Amino acid sequence: MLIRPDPILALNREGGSRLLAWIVGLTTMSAMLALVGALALGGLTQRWTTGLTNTLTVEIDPAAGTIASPAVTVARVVALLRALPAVTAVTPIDEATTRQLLRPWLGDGAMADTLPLPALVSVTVARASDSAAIAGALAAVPEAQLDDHAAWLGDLLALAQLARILAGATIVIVGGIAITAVVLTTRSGLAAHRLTIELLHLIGATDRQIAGQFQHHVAVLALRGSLAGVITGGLLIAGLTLLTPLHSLSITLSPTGVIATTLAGIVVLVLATTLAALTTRWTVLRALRRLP
Amino acid sequence: MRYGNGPPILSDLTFALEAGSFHFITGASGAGKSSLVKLITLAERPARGTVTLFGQDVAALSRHALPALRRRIGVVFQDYRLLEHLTVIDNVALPLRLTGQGGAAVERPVIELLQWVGLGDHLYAHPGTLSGGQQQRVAIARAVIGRPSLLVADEPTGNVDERIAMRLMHLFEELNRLGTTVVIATHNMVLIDYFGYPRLHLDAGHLERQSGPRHSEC
Ligand SMILES: Nc1ncnc2c1ncn2[C@@H]1O[C@H](COP(=O)(O)OP(=O)(O)OP(=O)(O)O)[C@@H](O)[C@H]1O
Ligand SMILES: [Mg+2]
Repeated sequence: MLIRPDPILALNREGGSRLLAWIVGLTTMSAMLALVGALALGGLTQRWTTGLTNTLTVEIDPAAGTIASPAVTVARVVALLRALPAVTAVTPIDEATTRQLLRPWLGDGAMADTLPLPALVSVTVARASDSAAIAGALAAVPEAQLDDHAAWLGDLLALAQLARILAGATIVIVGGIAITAVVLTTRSGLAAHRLTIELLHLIGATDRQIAGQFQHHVAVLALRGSLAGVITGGLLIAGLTLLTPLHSLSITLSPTGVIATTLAGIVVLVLATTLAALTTRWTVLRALRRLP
Repeated sequence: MRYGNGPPILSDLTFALEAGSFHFITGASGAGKSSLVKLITLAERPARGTVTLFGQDVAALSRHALPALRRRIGVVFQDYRLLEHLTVIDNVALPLRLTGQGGAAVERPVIELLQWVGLGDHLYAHPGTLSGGQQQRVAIARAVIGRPSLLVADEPTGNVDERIAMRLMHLFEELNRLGTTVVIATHNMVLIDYFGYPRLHLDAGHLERQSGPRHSEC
């Protein structure tokens, strides 16, 4: 074809274009990191929440130095807990099982066999929140302690929730930065091509046709920038999971992790490009409408 | 009409151009010929009074309606106003592209027209590399390529020799014969006398009626 389907406005000749691609690249990379981080935290909290079972453990300290033998104390605790309406089951854990549970910490040596072990009682409650009632009842037995992992797990969950909110805020903020950059670049483009736009109007171009020129130009820039940003972000995530303790999170290089990260990248890419193109269109149409 | 808050440039103008007519706009430099062209081509709006084009009061038109109207008008600007980053062929094809046409359907008439105005060897040149007269012919080709209902040319033969000026005038006459209303601003007295079309003569922004037989007023 002799007549090349060239852009009518020479928008790619501005330095601002390259800058915009960089800004879109950096913001999409940040958004990508925040999104994958939020997803990973989501997986983690889900695991924690399922770990937040209705089973609690009561620990009876052998060294607490009371007159009663551990067995008596255990019997007392069991009787006490069974009387509580919130409790559905109480099971003392025998010494062999306890040793088994502690082996990873104590090892197999002679010391492990002679060390006085705490006696453990497993308690199942109707609801995880019932642990407070149990702690209250156990106050009567000074040797007994409630191993209340529900409480600190709850704190961790709150912390994770906060981190996810921060990740969401990060995405919103970098999105705002990218939109601002697009608006400013578009406005400077409108100013730089004022005379050409005036001429195009005079020979019958519609506002939409002119906006389309900008829209296409910015969409291509945003696509390039966000592609680079998303790929860099993906590589950063892969590096972080490989080289740091993060690999114990659910953002491992497992197939699901890779799929989740790829999907997050595609979502960020499509959103960034669409948002940039629509922002330009809106900016141009608004500016042109104000012309006489 | 005035520019910004400046003094009135044109005042007390009343005239009508009949569909299919051919007029010259004449007057000394600075008399307001280009300003009148801007009014007729909807580049400027009158401070007072009305401009009626194709039976429509321009002031009453919405922004949305303007492009369709402007596509029926071909304009040759006194300063050409070609797009520097586009080739000659793309500059001329622009009005057709804006109406959604493209490809080979556009290519052939554009090349034929450019050959006709003597620019067949410069199809892929950029305007900046052409002489003033060559640029002027590109501007003319761009104005006529869409077969406009109204052609308004501001000093379209100012930069070309007599022979090419004649050729361009014949192009305008040809268009006129096909139904286009033609208005040409010029101070080339030779052409004005030779062709003898009715004149709208401007003197310091006022219309002096030196009209020929086909001019009508209202
Ligand atoms: N953009 C503008 N802003 C302010 N004043 C202008 C502008 N364009 C033209 N003028 C003024 O309007 C008056 C008429 O100018 P115009 O260009 O219409 O004259 P002209 O008849 O076309 O002259 P020429 O034959 O030299 O092209 C002049 O006094 C000029 O200074
Ligand atoms: Mg002039």
